[in-house]
Amino acid sequence: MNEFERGTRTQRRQRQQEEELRQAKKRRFLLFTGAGLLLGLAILMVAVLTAPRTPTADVPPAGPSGGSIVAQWGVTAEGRTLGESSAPVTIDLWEDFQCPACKSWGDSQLPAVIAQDVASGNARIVFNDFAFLGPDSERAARAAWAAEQQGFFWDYYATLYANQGAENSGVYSESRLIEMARLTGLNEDRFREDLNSDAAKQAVANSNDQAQQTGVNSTPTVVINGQNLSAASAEQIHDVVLQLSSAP
Amino acid sequence: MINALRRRGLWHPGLLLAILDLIGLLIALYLSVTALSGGLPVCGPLKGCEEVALSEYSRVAGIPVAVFGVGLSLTLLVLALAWWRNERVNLFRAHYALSLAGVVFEGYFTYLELFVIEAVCVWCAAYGISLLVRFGVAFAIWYRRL
Repeated sequence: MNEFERGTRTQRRQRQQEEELRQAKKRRFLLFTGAGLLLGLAILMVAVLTAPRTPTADVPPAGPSGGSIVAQWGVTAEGRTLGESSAPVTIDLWEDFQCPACKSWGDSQLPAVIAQDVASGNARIVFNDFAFLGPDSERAARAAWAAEQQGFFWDYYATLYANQGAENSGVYSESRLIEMARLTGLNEDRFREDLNSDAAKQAVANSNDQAQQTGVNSTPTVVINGQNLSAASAEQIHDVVLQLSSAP
Repeated sequence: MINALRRRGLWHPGLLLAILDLIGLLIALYLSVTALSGGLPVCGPLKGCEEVALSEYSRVAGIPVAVFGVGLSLTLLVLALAWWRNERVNLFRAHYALSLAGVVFEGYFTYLELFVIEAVCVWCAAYGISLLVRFGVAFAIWYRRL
């Protein structure tokens, strides 16, 4: 083998070694990326599994905080209607007491809607049941109807949402609903009777039927003078109310 | 445009990453400002933003998840710009690792949207796509340089 052949072979071997090194680097890079993905997923799974659970039926129900919610809002209430019955615009709320988005909507948007549109006399809010998430939803809706019979609909509404927990976990069991009624200041015996009455069952069934006839298929849904706005924000509602209340 | 920048010697892959990070940052900023001001994101005719924004998963320890998105995008942007300016490979590696973590979390949030909340927010999807593209670009840059 002459000098030239030896040199070519060395160069080839060198190139081969460089290529092998590059391939090894690529394999290591892919391995680290895969390992990173798996590690991230493992951390995520541990975090999800060890996250604190939503309150269930084991936690005693809480009563309302800070007195009557209607008084805090500073508007009038008649049954499940908030605001003046003569208001030109009607805001229909369709909710399920088990739906977390309804609770969140009530916490983040409802106070602003009341302050902007109900207190001004431009609109009134009417609560409607669309109890579709399971037996706890239906029981809670009947309980709210029973509270309405004693003139405490909105206070009981606030108590129900304050006690919302894991879906269909029994968080709205009969005994707990009665305890919530007692904490809200309702007459317990009358509440129990109304809760289990045929009239309550019928009212909830009728409301669910009406939801479907109105085209409501999720909660919360805001319907203003018949116009479905889905889960609209307080600002969107305000714009529509201003438009409708100033229309000739 | 890339060719024009290349000719002038201004092109650097860090610049592309920075542009993508800036897009992600703007989306996360919009969602954060909306959440912190008590509003809901506007999705126009597309539905789902409200449901996602109102779900219990939209906040972690009371902080809107979009705020974490702002933190992530801002960090990524700073890393991309710093890499562009001083070529330190560790800055790019940190960008790569962070965008990988972002992709994992985005995968989890997409799962929540599709199977738990059962609603898709277009803004969140846009942020997710921007994260995925950023990771894809960073992956390609690294792989090509090996």
